[in-house]
Amino acid sequence: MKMAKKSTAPAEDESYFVSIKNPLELRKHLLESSKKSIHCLQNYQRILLIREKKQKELSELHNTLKELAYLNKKFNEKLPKYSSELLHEKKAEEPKLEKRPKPTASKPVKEKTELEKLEDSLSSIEGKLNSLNK
Amino acid sequence: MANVPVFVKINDYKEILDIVDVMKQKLKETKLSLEHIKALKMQEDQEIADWEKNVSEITKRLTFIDSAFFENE
Repeated sequence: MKMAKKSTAPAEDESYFVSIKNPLELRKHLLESSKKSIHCLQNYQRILLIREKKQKELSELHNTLKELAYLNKKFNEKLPKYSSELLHEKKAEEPKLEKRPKPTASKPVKEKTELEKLEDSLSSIEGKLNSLNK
Repeated sequence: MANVPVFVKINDYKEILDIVDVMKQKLKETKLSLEHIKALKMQEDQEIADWEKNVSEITKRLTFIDSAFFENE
């Protein structure tokens, strides 16, 4: 790197200049960097669009799955109910559960999250499946 | 539980067939949605890979610029 004082400048103006080797190469690299930065911004915008589309698709999928769950429930309702005799037999087979002390009323009732509700539905279905397999 | 045959009312039976038809349609829609989501995910992954490539290119060029400015002879 070379430094040179500008000869034409007045004495009080202490301007120094730095010589740069391969200025064309440097300029080329600078422009390429600008180009790539703009490409990065384009990437970002495209990702936003893709995510927007994906969100829309996920929402549609969620609705379809909810409809499927509803249809499953309806299907189940259309099937004949179990006879009371069979249910009584089943109850007799089940071991008695130990009684637990009731939780104090002072505790606030926590509302279940969607995941917890789904977990409950799953447990109930698994219970029914187990009773069918016995 | 005994595996005895059960009998479904004819009206209910027709409704069950309708429900099964709708369920089949909904399953088709679900498969289609999943395929779209998968394609979008691949597009997103490709964009992120390009992004990474561009950033590494900028880093490389900046290193050159940096050395051109501050390298002592």
